[in-house]
Amino acid sequence: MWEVAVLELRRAFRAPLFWVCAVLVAAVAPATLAFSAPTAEAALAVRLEVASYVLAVFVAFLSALIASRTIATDRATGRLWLIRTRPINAASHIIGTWLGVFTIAVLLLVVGVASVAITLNTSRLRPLYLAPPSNWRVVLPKATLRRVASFLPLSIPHLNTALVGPTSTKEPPALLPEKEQHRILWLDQSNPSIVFQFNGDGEALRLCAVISAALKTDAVATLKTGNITKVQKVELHDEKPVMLKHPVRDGASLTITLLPWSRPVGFRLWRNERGLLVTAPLLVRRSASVTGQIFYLWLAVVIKTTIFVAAGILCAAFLSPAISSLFASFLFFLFSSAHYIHHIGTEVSASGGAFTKIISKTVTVLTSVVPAAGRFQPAALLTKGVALNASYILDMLSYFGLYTAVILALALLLFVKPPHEVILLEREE
Amino acid sequence: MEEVVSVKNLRRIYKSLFPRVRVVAVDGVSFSVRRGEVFGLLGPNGSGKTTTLRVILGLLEPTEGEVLVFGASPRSHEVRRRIGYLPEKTPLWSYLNAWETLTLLGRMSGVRSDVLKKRARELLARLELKAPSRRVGSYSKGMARKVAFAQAIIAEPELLILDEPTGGLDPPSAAEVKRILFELKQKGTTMLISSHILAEIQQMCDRVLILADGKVRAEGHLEKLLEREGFLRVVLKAAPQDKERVLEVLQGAGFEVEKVETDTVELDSLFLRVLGRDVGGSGS
Repeated sequence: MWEVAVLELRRAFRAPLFWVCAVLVAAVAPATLAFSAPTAEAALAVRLEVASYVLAVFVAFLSALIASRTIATDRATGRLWLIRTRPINAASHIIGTWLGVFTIAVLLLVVGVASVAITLNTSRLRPLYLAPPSNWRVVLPKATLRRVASFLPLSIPHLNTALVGPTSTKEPPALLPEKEQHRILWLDQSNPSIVFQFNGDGEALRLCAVISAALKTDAVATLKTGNITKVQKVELHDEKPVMLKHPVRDGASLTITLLPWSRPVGFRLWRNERGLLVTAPLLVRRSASVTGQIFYLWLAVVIKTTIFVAAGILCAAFLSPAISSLFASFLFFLFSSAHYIHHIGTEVSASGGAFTKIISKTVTVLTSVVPAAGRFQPAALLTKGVALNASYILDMLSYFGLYTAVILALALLLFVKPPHEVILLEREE
Repeated sequence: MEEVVSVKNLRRIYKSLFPRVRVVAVDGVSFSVRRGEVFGLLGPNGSGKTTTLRVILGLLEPTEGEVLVFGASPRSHEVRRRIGYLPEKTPLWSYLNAWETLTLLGRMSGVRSDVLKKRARELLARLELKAPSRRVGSYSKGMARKVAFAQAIIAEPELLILDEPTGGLDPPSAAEVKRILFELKQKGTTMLISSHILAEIQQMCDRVLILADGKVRAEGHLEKLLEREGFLRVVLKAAPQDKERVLEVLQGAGFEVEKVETDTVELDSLFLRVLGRDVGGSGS
């Protein structure tokens, strides 16, 4: 087992591609931190979160590819015979290969995380606040201010300096109907989302829409008149806001909630503590240190990678190098996107016709089989904090351990009596 | 004498679903290799030699028949521990150097680290593998072949299965390989050799099996198979001008003489002599 693992490590270290990948990881990881965030407090968490996502995707995909080519290439070139004529059992070979490729993935991650850590500690990307003060302000970049100002003929004196928020950490959730409350969950968590409360008219809405567009984020307007509450997404088309269908009259209140970062990283759907899907990232708890967050980032990606390495080896055990690379890529995307597809399937199923329902139900069932790799998002860990999450992490580790074990066992079964040997030998004969 | 390899009614059929192909590679082959014997497997391309070897190695399952190595299934670890294999092609890891290749495969064979290092050093020196730290990928075909040969014998196996052992080697290297094989034979190593180089088989093998279209065409002791019944070959120490006199003497004694000609050495012997090297125990 160890000999095979060492062989894989040597293979990687002596391949120029590994070093290219290491450089790419080192460059890509901090580059993701360059995403600007609406608030200083949000910056670290958002940037780390984006960095972890990019790292996870890049390294896990790379691992799947490397793993898919190891045994497959050795088999295609005939090197496998040199191992298989020796007293090495197939399990040792499979696990040794997995161990080797996994170590390579971890090394790549260490490079990426180190790069993130160095960038955070040495450059201007270092967050201003690790724990936001209770009375805080949202500071907009000058460029954003200029953009907003150029859109607006309005006189907004306070915009030249800052936008004030949050107005309240208690009231906003009550402004939305129950089913929408998860969308502003962050207010419960001192999440620095931007909330405006106006008792004004459409002008406020227009202001909000412009800011929303300038920040490249989504906004939700909530109009409350007496017992009636209307919720509408605010959009900006050709620099003109979509006005509310229900004008704001006396006695009514209008609340606009900006959903930060739902657009730049809007493809993510996470579950909050209540099990509801949220489109915006759940941000870091105040107590989480930079080290703690980087540890989470690393842990999340490592756990994800285990399963992709195993999936790659499963492909390699019975396919040719080229086909196994393709298949591993397919598996990677299936595992990565299973929960998105699952979610879309559920939505479509609820709204479509009979045929659509059948299709989407099928998709939903299929994708529910492979949810683990996709659902495990570092942001969920970051949200809950270290102490609260020991059981959660253990749960996830066992979940991934189970998946990895099942996939490796399947690879082993295929590897013991591989049908491809016949094809290979037939060609040689 | 103990049978190291026993093949009974071996039949191996290759099948593929798409495209639908069914090839009978080996059809009813039976033979045995005894301890300490050098057994040659001969046959044209596609005759089933490699398939037979791979079934013996446990890399393929027989479709029908029985194959036993050291009295057990060739897939058993105990059996594999006692086998050394040199494939026809040279499938080495191009990114490893000769030293790493030998130590890696030696460790996989279960050889102790100190013994392994000693053997690897000796083999590299004997096979003149200069710069053992150079990656195998940058080696010439012949050098890579020598590394492949060295990995087959690094664990000093009891049964050595060699597919074209001297293929791609220059005459001095081929001679050295043969010399090593003769030494191993003297130590009692059993060998199963498949080769297209008939002279090589003739030099080294005790018994041979000739395959064609997956079937046994001939089998037996080489001397018996090569014997021309009723003919005797006499090599005399005499000058070329004595040809007539030798003929007269032999005919005078009542023998029917087919031909009298000047004896020649084999080309590889000449080549080695020109290079100032001795073929030694190769028997040439």
